[in-house]
Amino acid sequence: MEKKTMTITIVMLIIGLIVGFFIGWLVKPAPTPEPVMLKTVCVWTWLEEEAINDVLAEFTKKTGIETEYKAVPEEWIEVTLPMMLNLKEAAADVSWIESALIRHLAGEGHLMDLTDLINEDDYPPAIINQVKVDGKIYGVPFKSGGTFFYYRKSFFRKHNLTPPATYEEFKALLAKIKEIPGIIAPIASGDGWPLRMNVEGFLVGLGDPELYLDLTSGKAAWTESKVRKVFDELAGMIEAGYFGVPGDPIGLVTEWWEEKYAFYFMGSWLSLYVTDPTDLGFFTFPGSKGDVLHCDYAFVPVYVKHTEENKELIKFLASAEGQSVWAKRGGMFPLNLRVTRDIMPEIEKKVAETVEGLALLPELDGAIGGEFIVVMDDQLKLLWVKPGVLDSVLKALEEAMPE
Amino acid sequence: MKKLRKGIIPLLFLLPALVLLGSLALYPVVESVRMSFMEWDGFKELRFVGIKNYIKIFKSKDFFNPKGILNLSSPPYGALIHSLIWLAIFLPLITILGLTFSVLLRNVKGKSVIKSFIFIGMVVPMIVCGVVIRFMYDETAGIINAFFRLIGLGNFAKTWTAYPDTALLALILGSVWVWTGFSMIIYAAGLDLVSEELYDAAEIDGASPWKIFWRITVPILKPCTVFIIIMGLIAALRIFDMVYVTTYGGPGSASMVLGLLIYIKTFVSIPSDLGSATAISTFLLFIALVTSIFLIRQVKE
Repeated sequence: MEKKTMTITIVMLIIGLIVGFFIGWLVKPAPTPEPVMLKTVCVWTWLEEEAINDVLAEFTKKTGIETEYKAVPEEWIEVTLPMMLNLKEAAADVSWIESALIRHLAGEGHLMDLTDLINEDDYPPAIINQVKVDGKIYGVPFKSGGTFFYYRKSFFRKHNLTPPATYEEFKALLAKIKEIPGIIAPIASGDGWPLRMNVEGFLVGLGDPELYLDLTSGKAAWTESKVRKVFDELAGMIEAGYFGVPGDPIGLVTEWWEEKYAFYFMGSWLSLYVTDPTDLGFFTFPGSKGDVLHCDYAFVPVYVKHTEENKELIKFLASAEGQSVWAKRGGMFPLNLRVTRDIMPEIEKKVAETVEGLALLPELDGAIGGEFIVVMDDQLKLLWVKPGVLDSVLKALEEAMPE
Repeated sequence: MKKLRKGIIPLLFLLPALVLLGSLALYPVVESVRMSFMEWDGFKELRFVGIKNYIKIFKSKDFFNPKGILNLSSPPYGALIHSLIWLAIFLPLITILGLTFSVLLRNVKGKSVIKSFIFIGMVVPMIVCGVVIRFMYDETAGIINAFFRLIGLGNFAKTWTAYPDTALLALILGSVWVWTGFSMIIYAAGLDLVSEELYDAAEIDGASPWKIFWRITVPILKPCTVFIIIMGLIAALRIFDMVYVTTYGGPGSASMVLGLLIYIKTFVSIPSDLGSATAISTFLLFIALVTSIFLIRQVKE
């Protein structure tokens, strides 16, 4: 009897479950509108992550549109995101990256045309041109950093040194610093992008901004005499021991701060990563007519669900108002020229003053990008330890230029 | 009926494993071989190009550059030759060192602790090993250069991974440090299975320790040796993470290896050169397969 009751109970339960599921399936609740949440991604972490979250919070406060930021590895943006775009899926609403990938993705038809959402005149011409394909704009110039020779003011005071005004003074200063006990080399050489920054600085400073732009566009060859002259000078300085052996870029920040090196040619975001920004002094490449900006551009895939909301976010990120939120915190040079200097911390104000009147130029990573940058970083590492191979380095760079 | 059941039931048990192997291992391999005959940037239509990708990679200095080695100059010699050099140094060293440590530590007190220290490299992720190796070879902070200074060879102190003539060797020796623990553990396990009576009998017959080592230990451990060589071969051919974080194949491609070259062609090039990347992968698969089959046959014989 007990067994029979048990069996009936189980059968009833199963029937009940099936009927329940069936009713549930038939009587679906009215769909509630999905709240809009724009997903944004970039490689920024720590202080930069805090800053972008501030920007997004301000946007939400203004528009009521919710956003979230997720820090991802660079490979995610360079590999996963394009793969998803190929499947016509937007893995994120707004992402930030350098311009070479944006041009490529735009060329394949994956990115939203932002031409009507931003005012082109608000940005340095050479910078906005980097995200144009067939005259249309596909990226918003957002955050950047100028490149300068950074030093510790206290180190200069201790050794009675003064920042140079000309290139000749700079060389004399390097020779003097080299003799200071405890100094490994006058200039720290982080491998990868910091070496590239040095070359950008030399090309703009000892060559000129036009030569630099011609190189990035392929109009000038890496093997031609003007370029060779710049590299000869650089190789001579390496040979003279003015640059250290390439090492871990981040580790070198500490060593430079500990006065094992006098200078680090670095982006202006460096101010975020030193313990005492008031001790930070910098100057642009002596005698240079331009400065290279390392820029991050925002872009939106065409496959996003909430087109109008994304357009609102893009407009905000492009505006002086949006960029001011981060600029107030420091550690970034806003690319919207309407952002007023008064809101910036002292060190950033000085960055803005220093680059005033200089041609603002795109970095090689964004202007050329791709495998060329891998070859360049690799060849520069070689040049830094074997300056005698300059000819083969320049030849390798020319061969690596995209067609 | 019974016979049929006997044949089907084992197959049913094998099915989940076969499905997983087929979809996650076999299919990507076949697809990769197919792709090596195509031109594709990841976006546009696939286009059949025959053996063009193979010709392209052999013409590329990044992959094959025998000129340097023939002239006896410092690297680069191309990723293929670098990987072969890696094998030529790495495999003998991990087998010799692993065997030596396992034999020497066989009857030592506290051998487990010592073995744990040697094995530690295998436990740590390769990417971390790469970072550690980078610091070990650093001119100012590195332990290797500190050792050189200590023994009065300060002239040798330099950032080994920064120079084209030493970068590849530095990486290979770093990987030997990591993998010696693995070979030592395999040999130690093999030695534990060898009957003590064999050694006792040899000693009674008057065999010297050297003769015992060569005539008993080495032949008995042959399956272990083959296993270590096969695993080491696969590890060395597909090495990527350690090179990626330590030198990124540089300077001047002096330490470029096949795994990293595949990564660069696929994920860094704009547009992606998937044709060349899969051609290199297929070539890599071919080398690993032929060598492994040869070695397994040796053991069977």
